[in-house]
Amino acid sequence: MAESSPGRDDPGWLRERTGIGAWLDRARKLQVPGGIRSWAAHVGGVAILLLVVQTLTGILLLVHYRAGDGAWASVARITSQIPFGWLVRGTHSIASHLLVLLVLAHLLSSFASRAFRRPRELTWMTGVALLACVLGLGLSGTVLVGDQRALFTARVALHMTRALPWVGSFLAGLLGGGPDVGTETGQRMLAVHAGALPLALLCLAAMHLWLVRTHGLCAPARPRANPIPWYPDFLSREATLWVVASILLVAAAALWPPEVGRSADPLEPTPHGIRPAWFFLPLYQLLRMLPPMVAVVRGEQVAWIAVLLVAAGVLTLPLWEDGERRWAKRVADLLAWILLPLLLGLGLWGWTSS
Amino acid sequence: MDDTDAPNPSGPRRTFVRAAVALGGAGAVASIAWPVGRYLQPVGDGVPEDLPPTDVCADSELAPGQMRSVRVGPIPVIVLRRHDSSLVAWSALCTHLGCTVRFRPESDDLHCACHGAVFDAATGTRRSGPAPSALAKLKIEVRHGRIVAWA
Ligand code: FES
Repeated sequence: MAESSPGRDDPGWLRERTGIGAWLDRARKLQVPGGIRSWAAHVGGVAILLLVVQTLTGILLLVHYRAGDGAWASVARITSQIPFGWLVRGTHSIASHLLVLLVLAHLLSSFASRAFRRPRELTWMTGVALLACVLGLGLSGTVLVGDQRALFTARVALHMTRALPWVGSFLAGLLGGGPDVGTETGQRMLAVHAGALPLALLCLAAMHLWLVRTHGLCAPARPRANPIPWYPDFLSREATLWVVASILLVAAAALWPPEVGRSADPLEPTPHGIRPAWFFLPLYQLLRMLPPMVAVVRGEQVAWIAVLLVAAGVLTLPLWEDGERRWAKRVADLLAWILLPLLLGLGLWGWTSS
Repeated sequence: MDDTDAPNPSGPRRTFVRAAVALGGAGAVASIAWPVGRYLQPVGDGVPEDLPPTDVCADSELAPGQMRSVRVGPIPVIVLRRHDSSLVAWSALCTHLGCTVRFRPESDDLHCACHGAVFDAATGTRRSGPAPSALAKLKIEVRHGRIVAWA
């Protein structure tokens, strides 16, 4: 036998059939610029870990989750009856918050080190698109829970969508499945949350990674150290971080399990002190402060203008702040110094307001 | 087949092929987008023009200053007995972004917890907050000793 088939366990067998050898050799020769603040260089790796965790726990949740009228009951059942359901749901929930936090921190650090400049413009843009995906997943995930917060989050989100000129009603109908939040909405949110957005996220993350591989990690302006090999130095640090992050994640899920609010009842008044997830607090506070009309524009539409302006500015940042012009650098810094405290202040205000 | 035509990038044949490919591509996209768009159309019921008369409670059950919540069709409705014992019925859907308002007897108003809109309990008009218009008013009357609301 051994002579006729020279070994499925021979490492050459796989190499010959997949061409993985060349790939491994290249990975072995890869260098990472030295002197990078070590935590910043590993953000991407931890984000990938979280994406894997979200995919796995998401698939597990789908087994016991029911969209529509049974949503709340099924989430309550997962949380309190299914063995380890609380852990699966808790991990999924905590990882989602961490993912938003991580993407935000990563964008900020890339901004601070101007890593988005040529040739990494598209890396930045796919990163911003990834943030949008993660926020959309957070929003649709909140709605899937089926408690009171879910109902009113969905109501506000759909009415906001409807306030968009021209495309508003069409989009709101598409997402909500009807004029008001109902069974159709839950099912469509599931299609978005577990189908469309994960697929978009996967494609964007693949593009992002491809671009990072193409251009390498952005070296600091004045490298203070020699490049280090990706394998084994960088990879082993990354692996350690993965293990530590996984343990922390599960521990956090066990310590702060997410609750299920009261079942949504459309007849009941919106409960006092209801708030969206933390990453929507600035927008929430803005909506609370805006008057019904600003000149001839409705308040919600003013909020939309603000959101779209910020999004457009952030997305196109590498196109106008290309490091060639001093004024562009100043404008970018100025905008960051205005926007960040503003968002933080609005968020805190929204958090504490009653 | 004339070979000398082929390398000419602006020849009429190339233009024709480009136009044909573009047209075919657009047709392919449309033939996918149209059915998908139709498939995704909202299927839920709209809010009907007139809401059916709905029984609230017995006329004697509602004392001055008290309220009842009922559902009229798909709409949550707040029925109030004013202190002059007249009746009013407001749609509880906030005109801002669709949350559900709560009646506050102490300030005689309707308050939305989402972004803080406040409506007058007697007239339904906006007192403060981001709501653009007054609450929708429903018709209400007493029939054979029972309160009935509709629109
Ligand atoms: S939905 Fe009522 S104030 Fe915004």
